[in-house]
Amino acid sequence: MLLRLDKVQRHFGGVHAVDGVSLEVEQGSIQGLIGPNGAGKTTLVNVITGYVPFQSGHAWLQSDEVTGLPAHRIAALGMSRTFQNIRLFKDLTALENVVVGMHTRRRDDTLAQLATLPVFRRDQRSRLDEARKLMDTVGLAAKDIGGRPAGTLPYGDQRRLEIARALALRPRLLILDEPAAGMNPSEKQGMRDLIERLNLDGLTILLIDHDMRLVMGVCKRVAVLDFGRKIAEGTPDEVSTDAGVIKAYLGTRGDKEVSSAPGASGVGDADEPLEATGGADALEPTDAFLEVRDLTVSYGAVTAVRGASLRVAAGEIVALIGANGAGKSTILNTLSGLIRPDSGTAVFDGLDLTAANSSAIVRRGLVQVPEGREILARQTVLENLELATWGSRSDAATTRKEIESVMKRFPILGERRALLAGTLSGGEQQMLAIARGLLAKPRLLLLDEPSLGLAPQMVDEVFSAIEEIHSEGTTILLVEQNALRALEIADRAYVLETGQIRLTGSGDDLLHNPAVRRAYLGG
Amino acid sequence: MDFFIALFSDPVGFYTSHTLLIGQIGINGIVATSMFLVLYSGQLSLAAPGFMAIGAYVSVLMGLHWHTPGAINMLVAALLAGLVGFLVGLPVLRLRGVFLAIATIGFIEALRLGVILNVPITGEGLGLSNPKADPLGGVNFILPSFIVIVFVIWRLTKGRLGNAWAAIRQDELAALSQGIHVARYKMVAFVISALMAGYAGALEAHLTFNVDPGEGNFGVTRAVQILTFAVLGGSGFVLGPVVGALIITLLPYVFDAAGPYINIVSGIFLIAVIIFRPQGIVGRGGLAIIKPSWWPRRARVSAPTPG
Amino acid sequence: MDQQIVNAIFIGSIYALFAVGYTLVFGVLDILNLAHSAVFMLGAAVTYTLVVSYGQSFWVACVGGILVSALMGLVIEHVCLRPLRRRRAPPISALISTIGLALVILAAVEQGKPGSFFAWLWKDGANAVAFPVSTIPNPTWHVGNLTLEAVKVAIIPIAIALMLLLGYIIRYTQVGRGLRAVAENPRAARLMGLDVDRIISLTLVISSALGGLAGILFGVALGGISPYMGRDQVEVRGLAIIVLGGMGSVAGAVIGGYLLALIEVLAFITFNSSVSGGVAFAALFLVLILRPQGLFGTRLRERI
Repeated sequence: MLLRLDKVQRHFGGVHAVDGVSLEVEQGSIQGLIGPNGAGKTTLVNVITGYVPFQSGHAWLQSDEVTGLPAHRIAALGMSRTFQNIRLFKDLTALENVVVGMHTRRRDDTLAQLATLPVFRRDQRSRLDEARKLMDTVGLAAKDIGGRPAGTLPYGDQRRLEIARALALRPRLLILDEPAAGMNPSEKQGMRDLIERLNLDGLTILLIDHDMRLVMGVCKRVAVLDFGRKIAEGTPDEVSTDAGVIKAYLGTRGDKEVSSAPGASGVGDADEPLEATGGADALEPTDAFLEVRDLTVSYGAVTAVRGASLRVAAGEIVALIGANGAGKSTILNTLSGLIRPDSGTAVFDGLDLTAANSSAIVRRGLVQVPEGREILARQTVLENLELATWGSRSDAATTRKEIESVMKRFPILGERRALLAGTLSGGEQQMLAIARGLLAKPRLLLLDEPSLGLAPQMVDEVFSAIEEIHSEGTTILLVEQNALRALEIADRAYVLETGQIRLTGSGDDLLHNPAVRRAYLGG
Repeated sequence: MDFFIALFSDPVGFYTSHTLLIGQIGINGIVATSMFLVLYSGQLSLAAPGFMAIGAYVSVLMGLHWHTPGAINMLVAALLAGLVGFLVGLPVLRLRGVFLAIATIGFIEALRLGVILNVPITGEGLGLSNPKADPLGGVNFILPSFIVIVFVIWRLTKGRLGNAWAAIRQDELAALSQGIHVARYKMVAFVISALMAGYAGALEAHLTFNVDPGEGNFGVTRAVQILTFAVLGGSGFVLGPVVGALIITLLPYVFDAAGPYINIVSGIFLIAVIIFRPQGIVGRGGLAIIKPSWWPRRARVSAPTPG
Repeated sequence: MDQQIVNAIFIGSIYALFAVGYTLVFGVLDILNLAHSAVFMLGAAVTYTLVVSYGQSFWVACVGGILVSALMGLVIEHVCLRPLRRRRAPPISALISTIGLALVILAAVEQGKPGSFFAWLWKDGANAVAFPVSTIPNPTWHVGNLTLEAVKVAIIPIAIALMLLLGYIIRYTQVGRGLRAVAENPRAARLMGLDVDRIISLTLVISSALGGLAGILFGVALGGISPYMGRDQVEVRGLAIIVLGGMGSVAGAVIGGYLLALIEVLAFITFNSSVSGGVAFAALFLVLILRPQGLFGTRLRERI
């Protein structure tokens, strides 16, 4: 047994982020650790690598107990990791990044530095050689990019570089935390190959991800976490057909027959040709309330959205579905004026969204309810709502009436009006966020992942609220990871993968499209 | 402009007639390097003037009361400064970003106002008179020291230590994951920096007949000046802050018309550089090395991530 | 002893007024505006010049001083802060650009001598001056064993009233809510349609007006108006106060202001005058080591 975890516990406030997790990883194996967002996977990793203290439980790396050791000691013992949000040394070159990984294997050379130059040169040369070899191992061309600052490398290369750096430690165990996040299916395939290769060379790997496909393809054994607990363990096949696991990923929808958890494959690499039945273009409205054309948006080196085009007509509910990292939120943030695109157009009711000020966009009626709710936790529910009417020209009495009516729609808010918004449950916060959005009198409401992190019953409530708002005449653009629910209520939908629109059609059509089903709906 | 003419047409003459200036440049260069080291390892410490004060007073007092030779005085003073640096660093290095800066300001002013101005042996507000000062001969000591120090620090940045410091500066958490003992390396940088600043202070005291405890010498004003060296020159590379020190020290001489307006010019420089060329003149990485994560923020949404 | 307590309350009022502006900017922008102490000085200096060189009545001069301070707030935003925000510069840059501006302001006043370029602003160079006795009526009362100067006593209710007003604005008005929204989450604020740039400008204006007013009050009550009064009197004390009270917390700044004044007075009584100068810094140091978030601040944690 290379890694052994025994009833690891960690909670924050009242939340049990990791609730008594035990796990064993065999030497030479690839162990997968999966679970929906918020299941506690990264917290678990942070605990066993020494970044977050144990509250109870133990962990051993072979015969060394690592419980309670500081992070650098654990690394020195041979447990190496990558990070969910890449943590490269951005201004150092690629090679320098890898060389840092050799720190624990280097002797201290302070005196050598000051005394003799030639000795140092020799050592440095051999270190650089090793760094180049490591970069080759992970599939990076050291010759071309070795001297470039790590922050300027393309996203996929950065992920690989982080692995090369972790390998430089010559670890006994390599922990990969969502190494393929934000990659397209072919990049993911490349990552899969890399992981397999590393394992064949004898490296034990613990792979954390919420992407079933990646994990299933590579791992011999998989453990599943949900709400901090291990709910299943076994081979990939056993786990992906486990009823509890399916429920964790999809929520309770009794009438849907599902044979496997979603994410087993991407739409982009389906065998069947991608054609929405009925002809996609025929369905797109000619008279668009919102028209986006060829939108390309990047963050530094990462092109998050590539040539995306979509249309929303007044009165529709349009869904934008896709995996984590597909670019959905980026599109919404561009529409709200928080980010400027590299190229492309986005026009809402005559207003050029790519140039307008965010407050002007809201005044025009395009309102976003952001991912993660973003409510003001330290202000009361009522204050949150009052703030939403900040720019409105109406007088105090009208504003108060509007707030009252919104509270009627979401009675829970009326009850909790004097409480700090941060004390509400996830579902209640989502209601607050939507209510706040409504108070801005939207003509087009953008909803970013409204069901994220909510228990299944709350998801039901949120979605019926959305349908109700729609039926009252508000146009809605809904971004969701939970494709099932989104497609069920949508008139039309777009499928976004790695920044590109891959598919579009009516909600119903996509719901029954085999490729979509396999990729997003499970079997 | 006559300044440069004199410099290039008669270097030797220039040297002998401007010893104090050159001495000051050397000292500022050493202090700038001390600042470089803390910034290079990711610590926004403004404690240098405090260590300079320790260096200055200790070396002069030793000379006055124990009649020990100058070199020994300076060495002991520097070591003492290093020791104080260690003691101050213990509680303070846990702090990040602006908190560290504020704590170090607290330290230097507490030292100055609380201790120096109240302990009779330091001469209190009048300063400490130093009859053994050697304004003209001191230079011969200063320049070689300066060169040696810059060389040493430069070599350190190239080795395992420097590698670790660069990693720590970029991302402490990632550095931990590579087995780097972040706390220890930060302390090493802090203490070496204190040693250098202490030494510089001792040198400076050696040049003047009176050690002045004023704000501009050992207080916040001095700390800001030293920070300016680093910002102007850039702190990605050893010589950056030195270049900054050179420019600021020479400014009043080059633009003698500026004379009284030197501070206004400095201030405008500071603003312009930080906006338009934050990496400084020599800049590689430069000011950009001071990461947002150094800065205390409440739970804020950072720039949206892809997805 | 009681006399000292009265002094502490009065000077604490000024400290609190100054610190409130300081912490407001930090709360909304996550930035330490190190030009704040320069504005403190500028308010006093401008008011003095208006009275002595331009023959204005104190009240007119006072308004003038406050206006100039408020205007300087706009300068700070447009010259030091906004260009950095546009460039997505790290917050540390704002620290440095405001230091630069403070340097410029201080030097400008320092160079204000008869015949110089800045003579319109200030004529006393590096000297410290006080308002002429005739500027404002200042009767002295004797109550029990206390000697009370009218001006000093009046400052207390003025400061308290202003802080209450500010507190009211922040808590109960739409403007204040906007401020709090931006302070807590600028992104959410933007999505709700708030004009974040305008709110930031407003924050700087309010903060600087308060800072300048604090300077005017200080100058009126204690004299000592010089280019260095900001740097010597409040620059580091202000830092100590907001760290003590919790950075970003207005209530903390108020309480911290009075607390620091009290601590200084007690140190003065117990030890002697020169040690009390170092008290603020010792307090600063201790708070940072023992409880960096101060009284009302929140613990900071980095997400991994």
